[in-house]
Amino acid sequence: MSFFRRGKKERELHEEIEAHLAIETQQRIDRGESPEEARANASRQFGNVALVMEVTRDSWRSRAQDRVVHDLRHVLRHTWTTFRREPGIVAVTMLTLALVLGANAMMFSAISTLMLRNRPGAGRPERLVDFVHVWPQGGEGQEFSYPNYLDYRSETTVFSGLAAYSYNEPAGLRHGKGVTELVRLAAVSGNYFQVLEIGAAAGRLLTEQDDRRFADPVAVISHRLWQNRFGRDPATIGASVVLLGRPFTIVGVTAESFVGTTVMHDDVWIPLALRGSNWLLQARDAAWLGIVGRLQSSLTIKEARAEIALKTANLQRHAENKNHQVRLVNRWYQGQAPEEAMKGLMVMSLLVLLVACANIAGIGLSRALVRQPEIAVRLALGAPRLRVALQLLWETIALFIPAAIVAMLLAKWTIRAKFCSLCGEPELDMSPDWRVAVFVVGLMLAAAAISTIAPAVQVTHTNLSSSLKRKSGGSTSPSLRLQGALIVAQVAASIMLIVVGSLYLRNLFEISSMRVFDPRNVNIASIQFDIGGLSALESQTFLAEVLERSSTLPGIVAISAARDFPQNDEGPTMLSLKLWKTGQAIIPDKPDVTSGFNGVTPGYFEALRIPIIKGRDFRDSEPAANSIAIVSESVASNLWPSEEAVGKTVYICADTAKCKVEIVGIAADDVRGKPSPIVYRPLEQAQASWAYLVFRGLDSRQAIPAVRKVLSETNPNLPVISILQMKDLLRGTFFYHYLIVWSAGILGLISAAMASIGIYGVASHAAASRTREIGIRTALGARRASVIRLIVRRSMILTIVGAPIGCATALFVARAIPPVSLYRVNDADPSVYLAGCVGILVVAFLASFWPARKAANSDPMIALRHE
Amino acid sequence: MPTREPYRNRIELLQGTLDMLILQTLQWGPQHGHGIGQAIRTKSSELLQVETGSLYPALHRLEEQGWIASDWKISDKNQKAKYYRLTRAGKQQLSSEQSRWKLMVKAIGKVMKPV
Repeated sequence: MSFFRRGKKERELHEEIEAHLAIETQQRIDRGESPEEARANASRQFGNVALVMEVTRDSWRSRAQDRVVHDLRHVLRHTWTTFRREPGIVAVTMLTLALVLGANAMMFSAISTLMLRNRPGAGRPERLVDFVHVWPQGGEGQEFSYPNYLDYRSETTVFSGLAAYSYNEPAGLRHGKGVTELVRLAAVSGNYFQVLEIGAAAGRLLTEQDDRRFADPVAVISHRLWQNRFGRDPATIGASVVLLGRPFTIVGVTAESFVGTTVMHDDVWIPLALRGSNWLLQARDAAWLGIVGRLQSSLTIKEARAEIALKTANLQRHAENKNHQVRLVNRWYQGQAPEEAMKGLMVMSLLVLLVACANIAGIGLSRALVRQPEIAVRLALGAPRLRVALQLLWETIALFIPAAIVAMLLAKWTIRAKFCSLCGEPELDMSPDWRVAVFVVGLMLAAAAISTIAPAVQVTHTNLSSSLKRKSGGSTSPSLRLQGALIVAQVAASIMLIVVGSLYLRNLFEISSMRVFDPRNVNIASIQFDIGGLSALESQTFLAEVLERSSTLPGIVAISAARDFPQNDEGPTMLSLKLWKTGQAIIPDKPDVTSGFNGVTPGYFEALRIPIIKGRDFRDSEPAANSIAIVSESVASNLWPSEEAVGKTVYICADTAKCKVEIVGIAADDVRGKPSPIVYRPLEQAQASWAYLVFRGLDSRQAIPAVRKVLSETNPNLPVISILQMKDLLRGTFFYHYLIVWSAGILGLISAAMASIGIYGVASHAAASRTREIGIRTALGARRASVIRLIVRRSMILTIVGAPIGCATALFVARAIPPVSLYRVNDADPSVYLAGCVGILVVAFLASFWPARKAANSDPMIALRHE
Repeated sequence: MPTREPYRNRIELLQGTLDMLILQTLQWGPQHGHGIGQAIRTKSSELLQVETGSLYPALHRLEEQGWIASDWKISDKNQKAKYYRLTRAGKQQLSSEQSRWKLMVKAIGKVMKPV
């Protein structure tokens, strides 16, 4: 192979030249020169060995293939030299690049799984169309009412089928004499499986015949449930089970690859007609169904949009559909907020990659500057400019390939390890596939190109004589200016990311410091009575029994049941209540106070450590339960700014006869610093189909299993939805905060690390290229401090220029992030900006101080002899 | 800005003649690069200085063409060197170069002869 021959030839040429020199030297010695003299003269007479080798090499058969091999060898050798010369810098750069590429790979894996493909398991997914509901008040959703679905479906010519599905909900499933288990149940239209083209692993799937009001109740189960719960028993088909307290017959199992319509797996599917109440199936304003359609063959989504636009316009004759808007998308839609979050994170990761490129370009630039004389000679000897540029590109790619491999592995491992515990359980297989590999390789090549262009252009357009002359010279060449610009950009980007992350982190601290309730050691069990088919009375008895049995458990400090809890994100949207003072005329549209509402049993305030400021908590047996309430401080101070509120009466609805209640106690607002008006009523006055057990235990690890045991013993057929520590639930509430803190924070730290490497590179290059000058200055008596100042000054100026740019973009980005619920971030908090800037300044100083000190400490004589 | 063109031209100019001179030198037996350069210099009474940067590319080019071949040998002064020798094809090439050279000298002489 020419690859090996080339090496041999190269060696031989070298030996040949050595022989030439030896012969010449010997002849000179024979003529009477001293050996040293002879050697030096022979060498001078011969001329530049490297140059002769280079031109001789050119005379070899220079087929393009040979050239590539040659370049590649050169590249590998050079890469290795670079690594050996600055192992720290190269390793850190490659590691940060691997991390950044890994973050990009992870984000793209999620986007590729969720936004670029359709539901796993569906047949011909490219023909599926998702309906997106554009809410008149802004925002998007995927919920449609059943009557609207029927209207879209009737006489459609563009869809071969239009299916509706409900988003899965927890349900109890009981088989034979076993205990009731928690499953996820979705109600689907009869044509659902035909439209999605899902096959059956056993039995049959649902049909239109099953989706009728009085049809025999049948259900289809997922392969996963069949395997885990029924051990793939063929007798499962035809088995009778109890679902939601009603009997169903299992008729089939779906193919293994199908997991449902949403990211959360479905376990059981039943016909829509058997799930919806009369109201749900008839109300146009009850939006609870997703719609997915299969395009008629040979039609495009454009044609579908035209027909649906007509139907949408037609639907607006119903009052409930005023401003009804629909958008069709030809992919698996994930909802506005998650998609925006995913896109935002992807953009952020790409931005950091760009910063990494700027950084590597900066390092490449200083490396190229060091090699400029060499490259200038090669160019002068006739190496085509493109070839030299390509060689620089190859060198970069050679360094990037290991980083890309590490990035893929990182993405694979972190996704497998479910590193992102905040993201909930990704039930879908999101591990990187070939698409992600292609993406990462493409990104790697693009990054290599981006980070090579500047050094390549800079270096290949230099003048031989000036480059050879300028070796020890001036400080403001165009390349240095470019390098400076890159450092400014890096500093700005890292300040931006760190400040945005810190703003949200600070906000999280503020939120937790504003809490009056104490979430530590509080646990919350979520119970839904309808999944076990419990009636209102049964659920009351159940709760009473659970509370009584649990209160005697060791280690439980306080336990209560409630309809809601502070900063709850999962449950029903906060119910609002209108209050009117008694003893005056009631104007229905003008309540004295609008307030939140909660139903609680005695012990709620104790469990959450919300102080009762005046009056009392509810009692276990309350004779007048239907006419008392506890209000939060802000309700009391709003209604009676200067009077005692306890003992006063209010109306909690416009019907004065029924809803007059007496205030028996005043509880502190559950959050400080912002009014949180809440009216608490005894839970039995606010009965719902769900309840939360809020309990404080000495140790959650013991309290949770103990309460779980009481719950399952009290009613084995009512599986509890979840029992979690309150701090974990709050983490879910502030999911986007944590997401921004973590992603912006980590990316910010990475880019700060890269900026400091860049600054270090600039400073050490400045130190190296001014060695002579420094030597002269030191020899003339300059003090170390002034030499250090000389080097550090430039880095600090660059950082100081970058800082305000970073702060401005941070402010812009923080404002552009959509407000997260009620907890608005103070995006103009000067201390955060200041801290970010000072932090970067310190890092920049340290990064430039190190090479500066080395330069100042060097011996002036050595420095002067340099070059 | 120095480009590659002037340099190439210089090589082009030397190329044909230098090749011929090398072949001519090797007629007297195998010789190493240093010896070839020295032989050309002495034979031309020091008028022709062969730069190593021209000599070695020419040697390698001629070898690539198959006109000369090389072996590593020990010289009479006990130094290891790469000796080049003329091949059969090289001898043919030399004779054709010689006749072309004679023709050219004649032609140029006629042109340059003062009328």
